[in-house]
Amino acid sequence: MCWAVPGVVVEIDRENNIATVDFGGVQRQVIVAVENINVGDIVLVHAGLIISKLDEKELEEYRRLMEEFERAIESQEEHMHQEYLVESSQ
Amino acid sequence: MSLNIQDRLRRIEELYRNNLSLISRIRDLSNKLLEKLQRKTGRNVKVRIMNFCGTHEWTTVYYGIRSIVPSSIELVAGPGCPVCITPSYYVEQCIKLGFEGYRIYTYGDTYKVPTVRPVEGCRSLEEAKAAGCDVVVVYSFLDAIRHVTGDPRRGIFLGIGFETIAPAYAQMFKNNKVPRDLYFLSVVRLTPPAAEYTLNVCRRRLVEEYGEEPLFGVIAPGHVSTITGGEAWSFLVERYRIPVVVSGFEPVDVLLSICEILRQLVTGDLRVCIEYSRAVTWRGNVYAKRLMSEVFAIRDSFWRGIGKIPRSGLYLRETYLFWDAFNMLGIKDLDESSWYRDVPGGCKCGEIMLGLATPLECPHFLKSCTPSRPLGPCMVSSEGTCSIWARYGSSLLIEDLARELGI
Repeated sequence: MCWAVPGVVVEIDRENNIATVDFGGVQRQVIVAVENINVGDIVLVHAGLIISKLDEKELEEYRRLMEEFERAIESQEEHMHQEYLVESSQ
Repeated sequence: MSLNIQDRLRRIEELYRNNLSLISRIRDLSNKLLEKLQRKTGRNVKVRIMNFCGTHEWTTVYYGIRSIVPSSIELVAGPGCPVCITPSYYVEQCIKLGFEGYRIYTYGDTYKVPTVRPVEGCRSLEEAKAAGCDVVVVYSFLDAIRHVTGDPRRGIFLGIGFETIAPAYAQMFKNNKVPRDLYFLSVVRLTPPAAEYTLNVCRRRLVEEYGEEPLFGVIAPGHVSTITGGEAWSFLVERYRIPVVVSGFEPVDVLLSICEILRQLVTGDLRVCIEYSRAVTWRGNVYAKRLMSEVFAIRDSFWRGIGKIPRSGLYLRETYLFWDAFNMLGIKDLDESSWYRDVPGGCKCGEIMLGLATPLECPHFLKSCTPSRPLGPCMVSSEGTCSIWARYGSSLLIEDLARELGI
């Protein structure tokens, strides 16, 4: 049951902790249980509750990490190849 | 704005779902790490990686991840679906109250989940509705509150769920938004204690069977961790020396998490790694956690097909006694003497949720128990292991058939 759907916040009723979230055309009122939420934020909604804000900076960071990861794979491959050569020569 | 978000979400999808070259490279790296691990341990070691979220099991089965990873990595599904683990007793109590004239509010999956003991001839809230009870399916707690307001009939909300939904209940209680004519039956459960319990049971079983310490890794539930934070899982590393990765739900997320678990096992650098960093932080949603602890108290509680798990249930605190269905309607909570094995005869849901069996080992699976006519609780929700395997597990069924035929 813990799947969550991303949507974008279009309106916030701060007094009642309720927000209107747009899921690509369908809008729903949901309960807010996160701090520092603003109109335009991408949020994860689970069973009518905002559980988290998607961090777009983290997404960029992730893209960067992916590139690093690919480089790491290459160096790992090289490293493993060398290890293999050492082991097979013993 | 609507278009904009679609574009932004499509970018996420490209990055995590369609990146085939990356996927094959992660797989190659996992294979190499596994070779290293075999050399390091000096035996043909099997790594068991457990998930505790139905959505991870869904990703694993839907994208065929079990057939991508090497066969010495076993991906095991744990108790990851709140519909499956809600004891039959609470649903039976709601059916009984429905016949007494209360209106029952619940989610769509709980509406369909079969009980083990019939009440007035009804084996689910769905059947109770057909028999004339007032049962209303809602999408959220907010919908129930709005529905009940101004209605003369008293309502009961069957409040199931894990940490992901508890803050919604807490926020409404805390802000005094729950009307007096809506009682709340709290069956909220916590995942970290269940993870600990499950790992202990699995370990004991494997030690008995093979006589050696099994190697575990944990894929921690991403959305539960948006609330609890990565820190909620550090006890698994510290106490049990098990690598933990808080993972996202796209196939690349899950494959990367498997790779990271192998890397930790090879290097011995064990820790909680947050792979799902676009949504999860180390401390989690502190605001929601505070709300939860203000409204709910943690107590020992029962899980369907499993039994008692210490400090795993959330119950309303005394401030909210007027809403507490246990208190107001005199519902006796389960205890050791009143708990009964609440799965039908032969049903393996209990073992399946503890990672001790797969749906293929259940005599009812896809015979007397199917998604359209579920017998056990794991066949109901789209997050239940049996339901996922029945809908998308074709490669596993074929492999099983091939083994049977000796191909």
